[in-house]
Amino acid sequence: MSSNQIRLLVVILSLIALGTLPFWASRYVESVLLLIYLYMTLASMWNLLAGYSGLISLGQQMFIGIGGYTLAVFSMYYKFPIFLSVLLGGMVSVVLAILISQSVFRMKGVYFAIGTWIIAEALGITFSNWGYVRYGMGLFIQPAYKLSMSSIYYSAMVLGVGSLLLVYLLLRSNLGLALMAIRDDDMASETMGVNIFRSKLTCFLISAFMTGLAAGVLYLNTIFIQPFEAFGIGWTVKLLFIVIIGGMGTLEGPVVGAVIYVLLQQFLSEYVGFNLILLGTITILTIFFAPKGIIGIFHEKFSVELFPIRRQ
Amino acid sequence: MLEIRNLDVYYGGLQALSNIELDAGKGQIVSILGANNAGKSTLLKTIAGLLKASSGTIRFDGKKIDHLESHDIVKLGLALVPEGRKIFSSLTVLENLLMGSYTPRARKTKEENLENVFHLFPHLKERVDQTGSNLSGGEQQMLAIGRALMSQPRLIIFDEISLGLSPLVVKMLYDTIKRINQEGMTVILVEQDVKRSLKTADMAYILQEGKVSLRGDPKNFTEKEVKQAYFGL
Amino acid sequence: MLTSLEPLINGILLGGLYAVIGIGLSLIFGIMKQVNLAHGELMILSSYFGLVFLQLSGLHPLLTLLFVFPTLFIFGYLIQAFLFNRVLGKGMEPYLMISFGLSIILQNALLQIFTPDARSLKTSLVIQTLDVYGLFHVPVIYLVDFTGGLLMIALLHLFIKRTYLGRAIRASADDLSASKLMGINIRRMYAFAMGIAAITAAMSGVLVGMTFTFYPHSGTQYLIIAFGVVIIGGMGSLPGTFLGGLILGVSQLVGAQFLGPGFQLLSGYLILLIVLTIRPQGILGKK
Repeated sequence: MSSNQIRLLVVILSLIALGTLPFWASRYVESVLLLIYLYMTLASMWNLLAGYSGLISLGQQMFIGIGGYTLAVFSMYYKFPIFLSVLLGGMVSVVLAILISQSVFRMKGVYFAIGTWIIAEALGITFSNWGYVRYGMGLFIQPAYKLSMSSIYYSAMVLGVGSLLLVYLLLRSNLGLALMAIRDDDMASETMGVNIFRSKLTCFLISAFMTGLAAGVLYLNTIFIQPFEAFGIGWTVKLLFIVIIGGMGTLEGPVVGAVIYVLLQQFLSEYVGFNLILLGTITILTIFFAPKGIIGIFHEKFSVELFPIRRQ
Repeated sequence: MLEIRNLDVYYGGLQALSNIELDAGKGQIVSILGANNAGKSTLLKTIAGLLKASSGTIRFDGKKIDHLESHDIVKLGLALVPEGRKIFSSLTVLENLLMGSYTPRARKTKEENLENVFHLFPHLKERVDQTGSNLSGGEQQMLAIGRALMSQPRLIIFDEISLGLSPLVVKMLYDTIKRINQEGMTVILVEQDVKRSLKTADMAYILQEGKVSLRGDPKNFTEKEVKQAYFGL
Repeated sequence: MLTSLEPLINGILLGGLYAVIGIGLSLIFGIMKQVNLAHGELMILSSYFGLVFLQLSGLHPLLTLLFVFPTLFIFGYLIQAFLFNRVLGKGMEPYLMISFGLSIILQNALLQIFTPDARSLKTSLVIQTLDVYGLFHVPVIYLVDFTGGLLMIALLHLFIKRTYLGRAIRASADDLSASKLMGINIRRMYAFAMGIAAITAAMSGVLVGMTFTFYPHSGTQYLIIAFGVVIIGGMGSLPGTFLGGLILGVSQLVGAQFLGPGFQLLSGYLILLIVLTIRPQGILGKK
């Protein structure tokens, strides 16, 4: 069998295993995998921006907050069907992204990073002062109580697998070529007709959408949303950790990183406070000693890519 | 004074210098020539410690310096007047010169050195409080040289000092270099101006594609030899 | 009528403090062309150090600076020497992420050690207000902040202008390789510069601790203030930083007056976002 066929077989088998998981695995395993899918999605989207578009965003949590709150508001106040509300979460996130893009895309490099962070903080403050969403006390997403674990599991799985597929297809498309060209040489690619602004904006909008969706499913799972947590920088800390450890600018990196992160969380759940300290320390050490992340090292040592992006 | 053996330097992924062998005796004026991209600047930067050689040795006054950082090399008495002058544009003339005497050894004699520099370049004395960015090309070059002198070097390397300057200014600079040399300073010169370079130097090396293609007393060079060494025609 | 001037006056005074908060960030950006995202945490760390020294010695909070200054200098020196110097020349991204990681570590370490309780370096100064000719009220502590801020900036200015090290710092911002040729050990100089930035953080941290309550997570809002000051006033411009502080101070307090206290931070953020969009190099900054 050719390597391509082997790859395809592996993918199909894993999909079957994961797809039937609720039937043969324990609830605990189901919940862990659920989280892995969701973090995978969030991280892939952060990676799309940072690793492929050169946009380091410290404010991705704004879409998590907006996605979560949209879900809460529409499903509770307007009694919309719950999954429609999740979808709306994604769409409102895109609207937010469009609104701020005019401002944020004028900011380069570190300004962009801090600018996005400030917007997220500003939104957090706004929501915690807003009576409509019950201020800082947060909202209980009641309709989510009725959902079964498997429906949440499958939604998460769709998102997780879907986000990988999305990035894969994106990178193999013209947009992907454009991004690679930009990554290699900003100015040269511009002279060749690559519209840098449009390429980056598209990635920005896509990542906003998927992040909003993932946030929706996340809050279906946790059922409670609070402004400072939802719009908090903690999200970026986790995503940064996942992408750095997994390997920035690789397709598989966010997957590996998400697995490591979620498992780490499970083991350290007793030592709540040290969690973030540990994440921060490991992130820094990884930047020093393994800047390409696990997948990056893998690529170098074995020159094997699970999902080849470059056209052959 | 300066001894280079088997020097290999890589720059930007390519081999910029191969197996360079060079000697500069005390009190000599040594000229390094070659076409653009022959490796002249790379050689100078490596000597001054801004670039690292991948193999080979550089000895200054018998001491190995190839593994040292620039700031340590200056302390030993080797100064580089870099290509493009690179004066500190937001600092005044005086501050630029004071920067030259940053090392502890040079700081002790800074008043004296300042006097010497102003003696050599009275023009600079007039412009003491002007910021670097307000100086003309020639004045900037004088400042760059003065700054190097402030570090109390025993060997000075000049990288393409005549670029963009009028012939009158260039002549003045070269007279100054000869004066400095007569007072005992060892000089290494990299120049585009072949004729002037060969007239002034005791020893000349011509580089071609990273290798030494001709060496010797430039008074004995024929025009054909020089052309050959430059372009390999 | 003149009481409506209060937020303006107080905003200006507060601006002096904000300027010191920003100067450390501006220094590092001017020299290394990098933004230290842990700057806010350096400040709050100083506030907590002040608290510790206060409790150990019973001294007046301002006097704790005698201990906080050297402690922060060493801390700043070490983080540059062992963390940031490792990624010198590798671009903006590693530095950004390391400083971000550091800020998270510091924030949560403070949380672990000191709990999330609100803290303050209380003195009688905090409650006293000055009655200016019966026209309006100025909290004395704001005057102290302004004076302290002004003093620090003046000292820093003198240092940068008159000393060899200060000149070296300016020189390396102009041309890095030429600086090396002068005999400047860039790594050591950067560590020193970070130490100095940490000292400014120490000053602002203790002053902030005396003026406001602080929490382990307060670092973020002060980082954004620092950033705001630098952006509005312009990176690499000392008078600009002071101006930036003033503008931010005024906009915060005036904003709070009109929109309500919950929005104090928000008005500052909005101004900052506007400036970032239109003119990221700041009002007085060089590009």
